[in-house]
Amino acid sequence: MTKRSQNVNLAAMRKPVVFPLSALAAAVALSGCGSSGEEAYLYNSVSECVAEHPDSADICQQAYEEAQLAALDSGPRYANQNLCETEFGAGQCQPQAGGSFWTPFVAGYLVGEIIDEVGDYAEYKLKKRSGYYSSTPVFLSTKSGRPAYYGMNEQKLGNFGDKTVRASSSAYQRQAPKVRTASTVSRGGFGTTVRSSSSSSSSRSWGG
Amino acid sequence: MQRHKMSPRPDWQQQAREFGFHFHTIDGDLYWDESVAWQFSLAQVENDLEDPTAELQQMCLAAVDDIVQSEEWLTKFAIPSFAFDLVKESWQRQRFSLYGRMDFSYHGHGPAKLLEYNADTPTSLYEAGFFQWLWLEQQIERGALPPNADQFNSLQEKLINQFAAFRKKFAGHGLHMCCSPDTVEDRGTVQYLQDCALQAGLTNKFLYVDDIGQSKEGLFTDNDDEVIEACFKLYPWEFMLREPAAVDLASANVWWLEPLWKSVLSNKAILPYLWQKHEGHPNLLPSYFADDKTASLSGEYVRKPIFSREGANIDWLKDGEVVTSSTGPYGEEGSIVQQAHPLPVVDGQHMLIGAWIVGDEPAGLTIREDASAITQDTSRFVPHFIVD
Repeated sequence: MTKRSQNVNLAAMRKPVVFPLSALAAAVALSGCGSSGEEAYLYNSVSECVAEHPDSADICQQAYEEAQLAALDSGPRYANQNLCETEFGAGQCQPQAGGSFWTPFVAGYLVGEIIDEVGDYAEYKLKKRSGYYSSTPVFLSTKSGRPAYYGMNEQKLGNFGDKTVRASSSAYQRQAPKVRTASTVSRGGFGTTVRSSSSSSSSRSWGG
Repeated sequence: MQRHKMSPRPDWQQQAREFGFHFHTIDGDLYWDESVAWQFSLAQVENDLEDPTAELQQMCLAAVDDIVQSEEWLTKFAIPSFAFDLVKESWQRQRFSLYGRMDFSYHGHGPAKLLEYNADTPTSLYEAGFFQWLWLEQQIERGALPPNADQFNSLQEKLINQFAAFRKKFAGHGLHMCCSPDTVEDRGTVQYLQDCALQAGLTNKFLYVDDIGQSKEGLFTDNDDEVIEACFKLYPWEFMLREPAAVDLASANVWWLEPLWKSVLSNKAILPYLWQKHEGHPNLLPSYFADDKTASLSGEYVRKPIFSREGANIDWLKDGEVVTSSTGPYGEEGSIVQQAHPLPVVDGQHMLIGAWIVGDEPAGLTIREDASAITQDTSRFVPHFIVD
């Protein structure tokens, strides 16, 4: 056991002459093409799902958990409460990761109609496309005027009260969390200490 | 512990170019100096430097826990009062930190003495974590060092692991990383951290501190108007807290690296605090606030501003008289005094040890040398190795 790093990736440390600026992962833009979508049940709770599919309680439960996970990993997220509530309404958002970002509450989840044909969750999941979530969350918003369900990519999936919806595969797709923008009203509010002192004394570093 | 003259690798400058180490020579003066190297025994590294660093870090964390609860302490630490709650909140919510460096005076025997803790914006990271590592590997390869030679330097591995841990906790879409414009050294340090973050799967985007924007909702934005959710800044909290954009620190709710509570540790006031709580600890030097009338200041003392970096504005006092001093822009917010503990001197060079911490774990060493007793940002970086 040495006292120094074992795995240093030399290739990754080599540099072109100019520093490359790596870009943030851009959000994957997807168009939801509704007509080609698959039919799915929309449930607001696990018990609602179990009531309709008493023999498939484990699918109902695991699909719900998958949808919660999908919501956190790929769903809409906002830098603060205000921005989130602008989209989803007052009281419809919750803080995540210690308040570092906000997400809308999950209002329900989609379960594929194959739930009627398969026996257990493993089989259910197998029939879903690999690389996609096996269930997807829906979020309730009145941003278009009346209450409607929206998917992870903010595509409209159905109206409030709908029990079945058509959702394209993109509604189940894993995506990079979205980049949020805000209009900038001023710049230069940080850095003033150095700007005001650099006329007289120059420093090699403002670290130490 | 011994200083050796070494033959530099013939192609080290070419390698520096290849790997993007652009600040090995600054204003014509050598900064990276591999014509010498310091040798340590494993026991010296582990018992005298690594273990005390880990222990001091725990003492420092306990100190933060105490200080953030106390307006009186926060005032003594010159934290602006508007930020008291923010500092406390950052400690309670975002305890996660990336790195820091404790500077020691150590003579190869006896306890290493903590001079200060660069907990917020330490530099010399790239040269310690990568270029020094490369030096050791290649000096072993060319036979200039024995095959069993080692180095206390798990910096790069630990930084990547720490970024990976951050990625899991943050669950956000990317990290912004910034520093001041017009400093090649700071830009290079941030570039190194960008590389480490990327190797941990954490996408990141660079901007200059001066380009951070403010939105009408009180968010911070980058040059593309993207909201900054998490940001590494190689720019001191004591500056940021006194700049105009600080009014939006609460509403912007950024996950900062280093977190705001590091402003308590990267503050010379931590030295009298630690001495008060742990008087007589072998790795601490007697330290007091400069206005503390109860302090006994006979012998040699060093006076340091609460906020200063790279050895600026330091007075060396002998029985109250200044014998050596350095200039600089700091000192408005008060000072501390610390008993002098001269650095080892070999060939007229004073030697300072920086002990790295990643997360809360000791992670390696930086050695700096300077002709002056007060090491500054012009001090040369000298590599080290472990051979018993």
